[in-house]
Amino acid sequence: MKLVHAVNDMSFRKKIMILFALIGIVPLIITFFVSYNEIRQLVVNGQDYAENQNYEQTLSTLAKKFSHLEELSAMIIVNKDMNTILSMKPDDMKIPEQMAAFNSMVAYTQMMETNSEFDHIVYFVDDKFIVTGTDTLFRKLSAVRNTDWGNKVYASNGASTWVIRQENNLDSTERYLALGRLLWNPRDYMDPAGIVTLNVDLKQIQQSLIKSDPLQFVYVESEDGELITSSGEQELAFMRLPKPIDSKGKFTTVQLDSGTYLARGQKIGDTNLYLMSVISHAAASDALLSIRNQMLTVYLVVCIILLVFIFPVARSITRRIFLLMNKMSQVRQGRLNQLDIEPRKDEVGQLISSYNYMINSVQELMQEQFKLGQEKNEAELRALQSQINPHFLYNTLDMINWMAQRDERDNIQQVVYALSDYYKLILNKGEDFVSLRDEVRLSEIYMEIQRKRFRNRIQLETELAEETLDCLIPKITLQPLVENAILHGITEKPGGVGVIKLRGSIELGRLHIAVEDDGIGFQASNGDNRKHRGSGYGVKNIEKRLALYYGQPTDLNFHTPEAGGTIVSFDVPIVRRERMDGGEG
Amino acid sequence: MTVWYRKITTMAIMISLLTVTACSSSGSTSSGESADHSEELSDTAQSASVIHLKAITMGKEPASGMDEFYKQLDALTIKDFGATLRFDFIPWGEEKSIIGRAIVTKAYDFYVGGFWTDFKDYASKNAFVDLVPLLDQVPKLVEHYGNVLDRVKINGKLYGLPTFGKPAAGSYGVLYREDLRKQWGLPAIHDFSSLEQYLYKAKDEYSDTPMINDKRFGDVLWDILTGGKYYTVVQDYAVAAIAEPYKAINKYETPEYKQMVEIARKWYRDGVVDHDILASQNNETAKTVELMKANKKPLEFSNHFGAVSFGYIDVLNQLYPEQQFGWFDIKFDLYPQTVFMPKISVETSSMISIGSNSKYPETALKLLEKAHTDPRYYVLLQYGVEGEHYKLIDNAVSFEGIAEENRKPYWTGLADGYLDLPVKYPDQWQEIVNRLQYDEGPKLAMKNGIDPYEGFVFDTAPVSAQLERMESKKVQFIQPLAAGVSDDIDNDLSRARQELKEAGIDDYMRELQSQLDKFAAAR
Repeated sequence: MKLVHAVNDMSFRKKIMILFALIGIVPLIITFFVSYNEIRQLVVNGQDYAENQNYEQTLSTLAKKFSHLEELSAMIIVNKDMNTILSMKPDDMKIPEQMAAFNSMVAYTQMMETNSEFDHIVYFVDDKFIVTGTDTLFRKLSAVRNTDWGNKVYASNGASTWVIRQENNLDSTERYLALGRLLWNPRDYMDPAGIVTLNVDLKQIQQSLIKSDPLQFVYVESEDGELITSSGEQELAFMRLPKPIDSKGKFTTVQLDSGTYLARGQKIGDTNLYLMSVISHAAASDALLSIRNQMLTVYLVVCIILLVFIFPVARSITRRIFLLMNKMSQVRQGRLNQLDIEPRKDEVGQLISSYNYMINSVQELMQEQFKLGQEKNEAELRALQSQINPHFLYNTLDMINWMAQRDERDNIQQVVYALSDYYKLILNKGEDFVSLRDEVRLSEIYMEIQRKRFRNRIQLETELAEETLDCLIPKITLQPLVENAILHGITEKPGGVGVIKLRGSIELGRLHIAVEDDGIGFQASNGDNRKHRGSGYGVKNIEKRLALYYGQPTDLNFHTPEAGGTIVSFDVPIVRRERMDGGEG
Repeated sequence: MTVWYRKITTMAIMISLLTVTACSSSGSTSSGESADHSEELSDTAQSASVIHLKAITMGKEPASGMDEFYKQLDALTIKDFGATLRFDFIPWGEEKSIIGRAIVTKAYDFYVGGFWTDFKDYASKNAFVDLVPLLDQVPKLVEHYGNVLDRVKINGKLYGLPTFGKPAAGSYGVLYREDLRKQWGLPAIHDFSSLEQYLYKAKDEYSDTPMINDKRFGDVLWDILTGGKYYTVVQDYAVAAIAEPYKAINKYETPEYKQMVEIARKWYRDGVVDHDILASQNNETAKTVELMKANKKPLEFSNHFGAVSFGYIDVLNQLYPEQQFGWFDIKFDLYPQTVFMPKISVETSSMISIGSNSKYPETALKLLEKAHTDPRYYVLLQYGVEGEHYKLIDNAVSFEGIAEENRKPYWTGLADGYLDLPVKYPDQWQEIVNRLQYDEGPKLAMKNGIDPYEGFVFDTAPVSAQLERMESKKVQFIQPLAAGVSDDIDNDLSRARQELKEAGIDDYMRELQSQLDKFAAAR
C-alpha cells in the first residue's frame, strides 16, 4: 500500500522514466534470459555434437587403420613364402632355400611397408634360420619368449593383439604400437612357428588423437590398462580413468580425484584397444561462461544506452509540464506570468495554451479591478481632501471677516494673496499627490495666513533633508497637523507664542516626517491623545488618506518630549515622481 | 502460442547471436581481410604459374629443416625457370629397392642411380628421358662435360648426367682407428695380412660387435685379394685378367673366388663377420656409423673414400677428438697401377636422370645445366645453406660446430669435381685427403692414364631375361657364399655355379665378350 502511495506520489518525470525503463529494459532482461538459455542449449548441444563427432572421427580413423593393418597381417599369414618358411625346420632347409624364401618375403614386406599406415614389419621366427638377426627384418623368436608383449600375443592364441613393443637402438629406445599375430605352422595349426608384428609409430597414433577442446584429454589404452599413447603428458596424472570404460556411445559423467569430468570410451573396432576421451566440466562451462559474459556485456551496454536515452526523452516530455507547474506555483505566489514557449498542438501544448489564456484573462480582470480600486481610492481620497478644504476655507474666511471688521485691509490683502497661493498650489495640475517640497510650501502659505491671525506669535521652521523634498505624499497632509499644532498646542498655552518645526528625513528606506510644536503638549494618560489635538477628525482623515495612498495602514504617532510640546510623526514608503509615473504609466 | 513463442525466441537468439558475433569479431577490419584475401589470390596466381619439380636423393633430411635452403633455392629457380625443386630424402640401406619403387611409381622428376641401382636396366626400359634431343638447349652443360657425356650413352641415348670427377685416387677401402693400431702395436696396414691382423685384434677388443656387418663385404674382399690380377668388367659377374683386359671371365669360375669364399667363411666362423649378416640390410653403413659413434666399433670395412670423408670423419672427430683414423685404399695403397683417370660410365658412376614421367624435361635439364655450371646453384645444392648446414672457412667447407643431424647430404649424383669447394677436415685426415685427391692421387691417375674400359657400356638388353634370373640366383646362392655362410664351400660353390649356368650366365658372358670384342676393336 505504501508502495502504491509512493508510486502515486512520485513525480511525473520519474514515473515516465520508470515506465520507459520498464518498457525498454524488462523485455531486454527477458530476452537475455530466454536467449541465453537457448544459446546455452545450442552450445551444450554443439559441444556434445562436436565432442562426439570428434570422438567418432578419431575412433573411425583408428578403427579403419587398425582394421586395415589386421588385413595386412592376415595377408602375411597366408603368404606362400611365409608358409614355406613356417612349415620348414631350419635344419631341413638349406641356406639357398632359406635365402630364396626369405628374400621373397623381404621383397613382399618392402612392398607392404610402402603403406604409410605403419612404420615397419618385424618377423620373429626360429632362431636357427640363417637370416635372423637382432635388429633386422627377421629376428629370433627366442627373444620374444620372456617379453610382456610376446606373452600377450601368445595368450591371444592367434587373434590380433595390439601391444607396446620397444626396440632398443644404440643410443635410444623406440616404442611402437604393434599388431602382433602368431604365425602358425601350416602343417600343424597348433604349432605357433613365429610372430609377425606390424609396428606403428606412436607419434602417428598420437597425431590421430584430435581434441575438440584444449582442455580435452584423449588417449588410447589396452583393455588391460596399458597406456598406448595420449594427447598430452601432463593430463595423464589427473585425467586418466582408472581403467578403460565403454560408455555406450556417449559422454558420461565420471568422478576422479581431481574433479568431475565427462568421459567417453569405446573399443576401437575389434581390437583390444580403447579410445578414451575425457573433458573437464570446466572446459564445457568456460565456453558458456564466455558466451554469458559476452551477452551480459552487450545487454548491459544496451541497457545503459537505453537509460541514457530515456532520461532526455522523459525530460523532453515532462519539461513543459514542469514549466507549467512552476508557472502555476508562481500564480499561488501572486505572479501571473504566461508560459512563453513554442506552441505545440499536443495535449500539453493545449494545456499550456489554456493556461496562458487563463492567466491573460486573470491579468485583465485584475487590472480592471486594480483600476476600479484605484478609482475608488482616489475618490475616497478626494472626498477626504474635500472634507479638509472647506474647514480651512471656513476658518480663513472667518479670519478675513474678522480683519474686515477691524478694517485691516492690508492684512486682508495679504491673506487673500496667501489664500490665492494656497489654492493655486492645491489646485495646481489637479493632482492629489505633491512633493514634500510643495506640501511644506503649502504649510508655509498656511502659516503666513495664520501669522496674520495670531500677530506673528507663531513661527514655522523647517528642517528637511534634501533627499526628502522629492518624495511624494498626499496633499494637505502636513497643513492639518500644523493647524492642530497652532490651535491645540501653542494657542492653548499662556501667551500663545510658539514655534512649529517640520522635520523630514529618510531612515531605513522610509520617509520620516515629524511636526513638532512647543505648545502645551498632550496628556496620554487615557491613551486618547486625539482629544487634545483638535477634533480628531483631521487626524483620522490623514491616517485614512495615508493608508489609501500607500496601500498600508499608517498611524500618526503623538508624544510629548520632556521639554514640552508635542511631536506628531509618521513614516511612509518612499514614493517619487518616477515611480508614480511608472505606476501610472 | 507455441509458434509465437518460438518466433520471438528465434528472433531474440538471432539478434543476440548477431550482437555476440559482432562483439567477438571486433578487431578485424574488412579492409584488412580484403588485403589478406587479395594477397592470397596473388600467391595462388603466382603458384599456379610456377612449375614444381621433385627429386629423390639419399641421406637424412637436416634436422634443422630445409626452409632457408628452399627459400634460397626458390629465389634462384623461380627467377631463372619459374620453377621450384623439392627433395625427398631416403636413408641409405634399402636404396636400391626404394629407388626402384620410386621409378616404377613415377613419383619424381629427378632420380638418382648408377651401378648401385639397376640404372642400366631401368634406362633400357625407358624409365628415363633421352637427353640427346634436348642437349642443344643446354650448350653450357655440353661444353662443361665435353665428350664425357658420350661415355654414358646407352645405344646412343643419354639417360642421365654422371658425376664428374677430377683425376684423383680414393675409391673403396677400409677406414680404421689409426690410434688403436699404434696402441695395439700392430704394423701399418699396407696389405691383406696386416689388414687381417687388425681385424682380428679389433674383434678381440670389441668382442660384442662384429667387425663386418655389411653383406657386400665380399666385393671389397675380392678387390683386396685380386685387385692386382683382375679388372672388374661388370660388377658381380665378370672380370678380366689385367694382362688380357678384354677377355671376360666368369668371376665365380675363378680359383681366386673360392679362395675369397674360404677367407670369408673363416672370418665368419671366427666372428669377424656378423653371424646375422644375411639378415642385415643391403647397405649397413648407417649402422656402422652409429656403432662407431657409440665407440663400439673401430673400423668400417667396406666403403668409399668420399662417403667416409663426408659421413664419418667430422662426426667422429666432434665426438672423439682424440681418435685418429687411417685409410687403407684398395687401389691406391694395394694396386696403384689400377688408379686411372676418372672412369665415367654407367657401370661406375652415379647418375641423375630425368624421369620419363616428368612433364617438364626441358626445364629439368636446364636446371641440371645450372647445377653443373653455376657455382651458386652447385654450392647451394651440394652443401646447403652456409651457417646452417656448413661453414665456409678460408674458402673451404667446414662442418666444425655443425651438428651431424643438421648437415645436408649432397644431392646424390651431382658431384662435380670442377665445382667442388675444398673441404676442411681434421688435420690428420686432411693429410690423407691431400695425398689421395690433390697430390699423389691425381699424379698417379694421370700417369696411369684412362681406364681400359672407359667408354664401354655393356648393353644387357639382349640378355635381360638371363640377367634377371641370375640376380635371383646370386642372392640365393652367391650371397651366402660371399658372406662366408657355408658349411661346404665346394658343394655350395658348385651348386651356385650350376644355378648361374641354368640361369643363363653363359649367354650373358658370351654377349659380354661379343660387346667387349667390338669395344676393343674400336678402341
